[in-house]
Amino acid sequence: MVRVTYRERTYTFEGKVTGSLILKELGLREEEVLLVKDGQLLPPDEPLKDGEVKVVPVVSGG
Amino acid sequence: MRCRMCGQRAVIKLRAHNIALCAQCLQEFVRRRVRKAIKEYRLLGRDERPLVAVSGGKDSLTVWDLLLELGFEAHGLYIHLGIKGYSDRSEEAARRFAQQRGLQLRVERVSEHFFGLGIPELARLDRRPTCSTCGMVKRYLMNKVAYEGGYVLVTGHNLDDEVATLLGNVLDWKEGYLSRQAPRLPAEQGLAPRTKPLVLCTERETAAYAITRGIDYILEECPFSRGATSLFYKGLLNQLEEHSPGSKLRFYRGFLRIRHLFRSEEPLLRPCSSCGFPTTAEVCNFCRLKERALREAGN
Repeated sequence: MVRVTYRERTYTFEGKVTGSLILKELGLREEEVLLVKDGQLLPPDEPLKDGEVKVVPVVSGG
Repeated sequence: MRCRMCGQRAVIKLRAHNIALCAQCLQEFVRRRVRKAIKEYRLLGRDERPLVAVSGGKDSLTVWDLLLELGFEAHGLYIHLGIKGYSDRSEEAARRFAQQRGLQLRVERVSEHFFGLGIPELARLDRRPTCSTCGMVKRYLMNKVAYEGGYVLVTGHNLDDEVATLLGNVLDWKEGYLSRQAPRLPAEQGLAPRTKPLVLCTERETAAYAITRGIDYILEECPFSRGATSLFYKGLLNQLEEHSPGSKLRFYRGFLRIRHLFRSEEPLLRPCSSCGFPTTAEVCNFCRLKERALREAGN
């Protein structure tokens, strides 16, 4: 099971999961976020079995 | 996915450049982009002293880190805006970064210039949107510190910031703003030179650099930035980028090639009768706000 946190909410994914799939499910664009696992960047095409993934927004400003 | 530069496992794909990179090569890629921007747009000379305006966020801490990596002796300036909670947490991030690396960080507190008032209270006094008052106060203080210290002021504006501003200026055909939108603005009487070394790096590249370098930046956004027009423009531009990778870079670099076509009469600047810094009026906005704050403090 993969637990994904994004903007203080947690989502769980089971089965065959990749970063790209997570982004698609959450309705996010690749250009606007990064995936981080254990403090390291996670390539979107890499299959995930379990663990905690953090979706880090990169768009800032005002 | 393999790194285009070294063949190791890649951690990021940059579609605008059609490359995948590992963490180490990504850092080198960003360094090269910054070196290229500095050279191509003459952003910073080896004999100049950079002062980085830091907010505690990814862009300003990254540009500070990059300038050090490139051999510049860069100092930092943090402006505490007096925004409850947020300002303290961002100051902490800026201080932590400076302390860990033994860097010089100057902290200016808005409340010390305005009789105890912070940006939210000043915006109410000013009867302007919070971001407008905040921008004016920050620009004044950043310029004052940089000018008096003989620095070049460095900001963390990245490609996405510049392209969002460009889109806004083009939509309204603000020719004056277009003529002044540049990666480096020269020194003038009372004005320190300003430079933006991250103009060729996207926000995603900057954030990826910060994460792979272990830079502990503040993820929290200013509470007043919610619903900002620039964020809406960034969303539109990222939609365009997804459809046609490299669009943001082409739009910005194309603009810089024809920027000279936009000309407008420079506003006539004269010294503020109160502080002496350049303004278009008798008294500058900063000093007028200070007068209002003084009256408020007296009530």
